[in-house]
Order: sequence, then structure tokens, then C-alpha cells
Amino acid sequence: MSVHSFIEGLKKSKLLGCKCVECNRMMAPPRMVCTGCGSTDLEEYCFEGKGTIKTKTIIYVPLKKFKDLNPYTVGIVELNEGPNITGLILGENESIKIDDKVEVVCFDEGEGNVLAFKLLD
Amino acid sequence: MVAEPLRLFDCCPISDGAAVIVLASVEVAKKYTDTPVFVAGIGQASDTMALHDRAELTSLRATKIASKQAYDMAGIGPKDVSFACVHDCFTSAEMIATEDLGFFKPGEGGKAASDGRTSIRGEKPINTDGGLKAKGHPVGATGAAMVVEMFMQLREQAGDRQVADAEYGLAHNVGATGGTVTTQVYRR
Repeated sequence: MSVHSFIEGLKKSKLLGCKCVECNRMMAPPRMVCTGCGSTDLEEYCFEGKGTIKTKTIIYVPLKKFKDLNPYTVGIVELNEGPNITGLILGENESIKIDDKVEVVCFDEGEGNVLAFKLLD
Repeated sequence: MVAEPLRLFDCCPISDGAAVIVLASVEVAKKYTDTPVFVAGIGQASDTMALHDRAELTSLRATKIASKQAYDMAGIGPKDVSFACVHDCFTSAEMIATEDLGFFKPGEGGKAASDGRTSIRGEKPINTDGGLKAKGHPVGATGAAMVVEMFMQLREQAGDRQVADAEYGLAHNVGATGGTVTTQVYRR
């Protein structure tokens, strides 16, 4: 498990993380050390990629690589399995609301791939 | 609009600047002044880097832990603080800080400010020097500059910013969006 493997998973719209063998904590993205108990006995886990928007904002001062998306929504998504993760939320900014259901997509921003979510109808 | 709902004046400017403080033992300080300012309590705490890994999104746990250390060391509580300089990188950060430091109940920090309770003549003066938002934020120097304000207020040298009967001041500084917080209590 590495940043590289996470990005490779993302390119296939898979959200990879890990699960602690000792305490069963699930983490996204993958870590080297369990954020709960400190164990290094972690196994790769592929999340379902679905979750709920916990909070969000609309960015009007974009990063250079996102200038074509300006303004764009960034949110924290609570994955169905429990952990939270930050990502772009794609879609009409005004129609994206807290508690909306989303699923993972891979967003190619030209320089690489970033984690993004789209609204589930 | 910068990042909804924060607009331009909700965000502090990142600035250039410098601040200097001189620390000395009580014996040495008293050779230079009859009115030194004393460090009554200090605290520091850390939290996760990523916001999404935080236990709460509208509170900084590191502020609660760091301020408890400082309050306990100083032997005081939030109600004893005469004035405070808090890390208002954004208006939302000030609201969260005044709640986490125990000045107002969770959810009431914003209303307390708009009701005037945090003005210089209010019951709990906050950021009498303008804070990061109005004064600027020379990252690194900001914390030291708060201590300068502590010093001026507690020695009654703050001019028209002077808080009446200042006895205890609290300085609160945040790094890494809440990844690290320091808090100190000063007294005259």
C-alpha cells in the first residue's frame, strides 16, 4: 500500500484504504500505522466508494489546476463504512447539499488524478 | 466570496511583520521594570492534520486541551480572563476559539461577537489589537505579537485600546488549521 497504489486504484474509481487487523479500525486513504491503536498490522481494504456529504463549501479562489472548474465544491464525505474523507464534489454547485448521497469518481485534473465524488440520483 | 460562506473580510491577510519579546527570570526582569508581566500558565496540544479525521468539525480539541493546561497552571478559569487574543485567521475561527476557550457556550460565539460582548468595552474583550483579521497575520510573528498585546494591556499602556482593570490575559495561537495549538495565561 502506497500513495502510488492509492492513485492507481483511484484511476479505476476504486477508493482504497486499510483495515487494522488488531482493532478493526478502517482508514481512508491507506496508512502505515493504525490511527486508533498504533498497530502496523494493517491490511488493504477497498471501500464501496459510497457515502454522505457531511459538510461542504464552494471555492471561488481556485487552485491553478482547477481553474476550469471555478467555482467548485469541496466536501467532507462520510463513507458508508465509517471514515470521513475530503474530495471534490462534482455537479451543479447550487444543487449540492449536506446529507446528499455520493459515490467516488476519479477526476483527472491534467497534472494527475484526484479523489472526487458525484451525486447519486 | 472566497470559500462559501466566508467572504474576503472574513479572511485574514497573510502578511509580513515581526514581533519581539524578551523573557527573563523574575529577578532579572525586576532590574529593568517595576511592572513586568508574568507568564502564569502555558499549554500546548496537537490533533490530526486532516480536518476530515477530526472528532468534531466546529471545535478544536487541541484548543480545549491546551487551554485547560494553561488555566490549571495559572489556577484560573475562563471567567477570570480579562481579555484574550485568539487566533482569528477567519471569523469562523474566532467563534470556534471563544467557545473552545470557555468564554461562550458552543454555538454562541458568533452571536456574542455581533452582540458586542467581545468589544473592548464588552464583558469579554477579544482581539483588542484587531487580531489576525484586522491587524494582519505574519505567520510565526503573530503569536509573539499577541504577547506584545498582553504586555501592553497588563501594564495599562494600550492607549485607546485599553481594557479596564486588566488582570489576566490569554493568548491563543493555532497552527496547521488546528493541528497544533498553544495557549498561555499572562498576569500583571
